[in-house]
Amino acid sequence: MTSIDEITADRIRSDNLASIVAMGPQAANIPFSLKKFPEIWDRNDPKLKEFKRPPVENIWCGLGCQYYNIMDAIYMAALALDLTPDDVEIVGGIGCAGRSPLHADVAQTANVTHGQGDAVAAGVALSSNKLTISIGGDGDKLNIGLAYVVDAGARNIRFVNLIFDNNVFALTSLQPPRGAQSHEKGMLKLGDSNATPDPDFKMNAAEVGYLGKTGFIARGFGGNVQELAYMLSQAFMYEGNSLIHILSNCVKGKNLKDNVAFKNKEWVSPYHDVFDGNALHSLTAEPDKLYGGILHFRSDNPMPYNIEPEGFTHSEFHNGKLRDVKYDVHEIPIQEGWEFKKGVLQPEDTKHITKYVRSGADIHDGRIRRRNLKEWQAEHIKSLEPQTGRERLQKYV
Amino acid sequence: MQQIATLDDKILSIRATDSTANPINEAINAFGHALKRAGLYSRFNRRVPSRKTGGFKFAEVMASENYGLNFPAGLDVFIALDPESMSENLEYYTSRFDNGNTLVILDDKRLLDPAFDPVKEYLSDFQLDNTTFQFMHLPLSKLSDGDKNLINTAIGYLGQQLDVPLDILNDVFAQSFSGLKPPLLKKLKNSLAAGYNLEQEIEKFDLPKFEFNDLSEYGYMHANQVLAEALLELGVNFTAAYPITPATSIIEVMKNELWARYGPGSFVQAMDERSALAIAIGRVWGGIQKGTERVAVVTSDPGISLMSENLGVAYDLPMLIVNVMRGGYVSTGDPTGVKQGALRQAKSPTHGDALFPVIAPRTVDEMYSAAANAYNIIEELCMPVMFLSDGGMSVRNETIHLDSLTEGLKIPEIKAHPDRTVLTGLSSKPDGRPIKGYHHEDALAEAKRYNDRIQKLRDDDLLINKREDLDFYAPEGKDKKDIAVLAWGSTWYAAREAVEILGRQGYNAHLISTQQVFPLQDSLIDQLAEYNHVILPELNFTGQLAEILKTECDSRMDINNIYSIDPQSNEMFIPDEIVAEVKEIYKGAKK
Repeated sequence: MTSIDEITADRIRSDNLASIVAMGPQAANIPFSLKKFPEIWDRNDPKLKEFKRPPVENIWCGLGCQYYNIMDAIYMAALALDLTPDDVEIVGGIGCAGRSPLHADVAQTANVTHGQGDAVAAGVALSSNKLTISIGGDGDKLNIGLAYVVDAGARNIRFVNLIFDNNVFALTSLQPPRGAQSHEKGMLKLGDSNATPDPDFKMNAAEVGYLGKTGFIARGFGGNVQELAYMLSQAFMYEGNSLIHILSNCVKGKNLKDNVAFKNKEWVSPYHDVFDGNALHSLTAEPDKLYGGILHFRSDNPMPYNIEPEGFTHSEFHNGKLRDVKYDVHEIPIQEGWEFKKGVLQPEDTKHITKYVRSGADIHDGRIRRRNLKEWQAEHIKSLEPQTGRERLQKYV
Repeated sequence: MQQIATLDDKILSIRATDSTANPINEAINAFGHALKRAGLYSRFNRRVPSRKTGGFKFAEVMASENYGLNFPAGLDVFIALDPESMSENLEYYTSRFDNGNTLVILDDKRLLDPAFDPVKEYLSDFQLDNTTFQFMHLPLSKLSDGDKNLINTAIGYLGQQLDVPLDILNDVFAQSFSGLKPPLLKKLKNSLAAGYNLEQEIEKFDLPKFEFNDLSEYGYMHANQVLAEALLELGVNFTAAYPITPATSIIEVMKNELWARYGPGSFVQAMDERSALAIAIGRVWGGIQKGTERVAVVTSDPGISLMSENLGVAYDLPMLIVNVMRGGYVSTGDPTGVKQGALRQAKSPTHGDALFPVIAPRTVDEMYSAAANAYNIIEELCMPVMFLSDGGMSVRNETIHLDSLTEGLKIPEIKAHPDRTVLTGLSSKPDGRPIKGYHHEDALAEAKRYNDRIQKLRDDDLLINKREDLDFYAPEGKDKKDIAVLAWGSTWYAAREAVEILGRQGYNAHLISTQQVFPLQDSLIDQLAEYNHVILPELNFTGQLAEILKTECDSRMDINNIYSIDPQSNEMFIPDEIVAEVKEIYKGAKK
């Protein structure tokens, strides 16, 4: 019997992401257990520079701030998918993480109001089919913008939601975020510090994402760039709203290093059922551990807004590399003994497999390229009224 | 533009009131539509006063041979479906209007008894004499097919008296009540017919005999419908909103059409108003390089309060912010009230040193040109424009010449801004270098650019669609520049008629009005400076346009000559109120 673990890293390397998708999303966490990542995520790729603004734009602390790592991972993932800076749009909120758009030299960036970057990103995603990334810190997305994270998942407008979580309000002189353990420098610490409910309590971003039925939920760490780049590339491909919670050490705030859960961080097993909400809950229910990896994945979330308006052109990058490997998926033989769960894939039923792949292709077509408006209108709208001019007003006579 | 009714025109007003389950708003509105279709200019108004919870409400319709601007100062026909709401309404009505010769229709058999004194029974509280009210019994409950159709029976009867064909009534009601199931619609039509065929004469009261016009080229619409159609005509391809009275019906009209034209991504009912504007900002920003997006955000005053933070982000983005002003004074306001309370908020809704242009249409049929003008400013200056409609217009259906809405309408094109790559709410980077707006612009130059945009609106005229008939009116033979009544928004209706009345009473009063209420054009201030008195009737107590005028006029006007007229009720002005106040001011008795 062949186990998932025995699938070689060579295959991952040669067929990259498509192979992993073909194995089923359960297999998405294999690279973590193999501790081998394909060379396509190259931190030394000279093309990375194309994504970066000149250094004068930088506003983060120098050496040690892991936000630089995270941005590198974003660029690496984009390059691995053959994206150019012109294919990417970034929206940020307020705070250190909110300023990340200012570090990226991409097609368009916006630095908007506190907590509302997700809503702006939703609008950006509706008007263009470039890769839209919304970035905010834990203050931005797990405090003031909490409802917007949930709303983004619930609407399932396709953009990548990144929470840069350093567990501290670094820009305003190290106040603790909600429920974080006490800080020496925290100005706004009120009341009896002994009465702090739980020093290790954090608003769990994965659960927040699940509350909005976000279809792709992952967690990464600023110190693990290869792993993060891999997860980001998966999120970029995901056709729907995706959320990655990225824990990052802050040069100024030392709280995260002292956090018990953060000390015990580890990657989820490849046997973690990414389709199962209960499996996600069981991961987040362990207070002393912090799991990284792809925690949740759904391919059947409806996307009510994604119909391509007339006159829009498809960006090539969506149809390039990814689409070719997608059709290769058909050729991968189903190996006896593969364990698929929850009725999504049944190993004995090859028809199911084919169906999955095909529906996946449809999803790719429907969500990345989006559907054509005229086809959609023909399906949904029986008769269109006159569109402009005096004729339209006849109904008011 | 249709022929405006003069003071000599007969205008019939019909009012219905009810505190039961009768759909009087919809029915009276449909009656207005039927009157229009028969060939009379009609206008409909409704109100659910917040002073009383429950079902108490009124609806009124007026009809005339020419385009009547205001409901007449007397009440002609009063349909009272229950005594309680009648007394509530008459109390309100007699406190505000002259008592004309009024026919009161109600279902009370006691009226058939000569010994019965309805005035003593119903009106003893108001000290009214019985010469102003003629009571008439109509057996509504007996004739009507079901309790909810009393109003339709009464309308059928009035339709017969006004010679409106029953076919038209049936057609219009079938259209207006298309959501009813067939058996209920049948009951409705039975009730209309029963009233229509009732042989009963009206005693001691003369309903006017109108001559019907050919109004087949006219529509029957309220301001929200016209505005929604205007936005669609102008090519708006996205809107995000959170429902809010009285702006919701704009979205109701637009959403299906947007959905059909541009797909479901073209309308988002957002989580809240903040989110609505944020999504719209994203949509504009995402398409700004190619110039693909024309976006409008629709809300009411409290929505603008919620959006105020994001309006700062939007300050460099081309988009229309529509505010259908509601009544009330602070906090939640009065959703169904009428007030012009948001002008100050509109010109400066966000923190920082930012002023917004404000366009306020004055009449229902001006929505097209006003919205087109607003988009011209938006595209020329690449900034948001606040568009102020109000609750008064939003619930008033009126007879509109449809060709005039679209004929000759200049629609500005969407401009692309390929150089726009960075949008940020920060004013400068930590090293002091500016990042707001475009790359590497000097922060001071940026602030100056913002200010120059507003200054350009003072110096230049960007209103590409003109409405001279609304901008100025002087009664015949009154050429002397003495009194200028400066009206904005829907106050124009009452001010226009008030100036006509003042002219007949010997005053040299002119109506001056502007669509662009902030910043005021220099040419307007020069025009106003020639008058001895500039009087501003405004539906607010803080003189919001007067304040702008006093600031903007600099030293070109004597600000001691600028007077405000406060609201006299929670409704739109009636002309007589403005006339009385203008006279007071003119006599010097009032500042």
